[in-house]
Amino acid sequence: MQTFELFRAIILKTGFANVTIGHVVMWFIGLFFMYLAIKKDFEPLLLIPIGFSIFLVNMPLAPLTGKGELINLFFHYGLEWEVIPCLIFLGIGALTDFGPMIANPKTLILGASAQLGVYIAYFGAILLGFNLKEAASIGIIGGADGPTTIYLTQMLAPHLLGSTAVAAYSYMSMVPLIQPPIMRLLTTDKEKRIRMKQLRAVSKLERIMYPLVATVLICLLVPPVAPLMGLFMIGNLFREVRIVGRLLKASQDELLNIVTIFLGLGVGSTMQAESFLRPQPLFIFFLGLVAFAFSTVGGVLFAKIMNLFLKQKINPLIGAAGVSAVPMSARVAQKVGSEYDPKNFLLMHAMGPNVAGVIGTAIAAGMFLTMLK
Amino acid sequence: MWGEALRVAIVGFSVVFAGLWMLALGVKIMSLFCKMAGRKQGGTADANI
Repeated sequence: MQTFELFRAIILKTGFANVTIGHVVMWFIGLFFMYLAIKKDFEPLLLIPIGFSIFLVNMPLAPLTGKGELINLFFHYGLEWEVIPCLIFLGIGALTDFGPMIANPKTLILGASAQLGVYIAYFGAILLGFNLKEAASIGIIGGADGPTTIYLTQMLAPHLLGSTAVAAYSYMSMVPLIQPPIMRLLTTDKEKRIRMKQLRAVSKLERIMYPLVATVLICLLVPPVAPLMGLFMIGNLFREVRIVGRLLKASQDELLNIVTIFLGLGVGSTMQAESFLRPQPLFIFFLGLVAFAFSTVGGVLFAKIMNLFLKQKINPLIGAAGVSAVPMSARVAQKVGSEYDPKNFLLMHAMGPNVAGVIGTAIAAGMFLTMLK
Repeated sequence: MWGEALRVAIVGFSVVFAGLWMLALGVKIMSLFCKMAGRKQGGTADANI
């Protein structure tokens, strides 16, 4: 009898006896993320750690997400302390070529118009019963910028962090699916074939000066996003001065890779069955899609409006790159454009609004923080 | 609440446009100075430092 009781006690302490339907549902969600990454090649660097983390943290009784436990430490120090979003920006800055934007600064305005979805989703969230801070955190998903979404949500509505971060990164990975139908719908065949003038060469001095000028303007205008923009610009300065190769390599390779692992594990850990399988995250996912779609609409339509006043027409497809998923949305603009004119090279033109979108989303987040925090 | 929400959206979206417009202007002015500096050094407008 004692042996039977011992076995019973042991079995009760295993995960098998504590698995719920919710855990199993979350395993499938984690597997779906990994499927998208491995089979469809959607943002594998992020979706594999996120997917596996979802899988892992939904193992009942596993000491992973409690206070002081392994994945909780990544989440606490990396995301709650907002270290990871800023370090990701350092790496992105080190990888970003601002040359196309410096050569054609009017494309910066497309990065502003592509924030339309942020505000549409913000109103949608209020209609669905979220308060203003929660609505801002949901709306910013439309900026297609994971680190900024995490940064803003952590400050305004930390209880939504898991849902907004996962929605932002999921939709970023689905840019090639979400954007092209909208781009095709909103542009005529003639517009899709517009060829843009080749960009001028940008001098090294301009490239070095740009991060300094941008830091001054953005940090003075929206101080709450100085940590994000400051690291973004210093990363870019490492790239452009060309004398700190070791710092550049560390920023764009080792550091970015390490931080990406912690980011993925930390974000995935917020998707535990008990907190995730409720209507609220489903609303957030829906609103995130709305935000993404309207950001694409805003960028494309504003490019068409700009064409009414410009002598040198711009191809409206590059407006869609104003959402900041760098460089994927620029590649999408190139791909859609080349379907209609295989010799039309839009990629470099699209990089202008693409990097402007990163800055536009940061300014939008900074304004939410200024007015709502 | 809706009044406050509208105010946040209008001011926010306007500042996004104004901020990026300021940055575009700043980049134009910066490029102008860089070209002048390039010419002063006897190079071409796109000379590297």
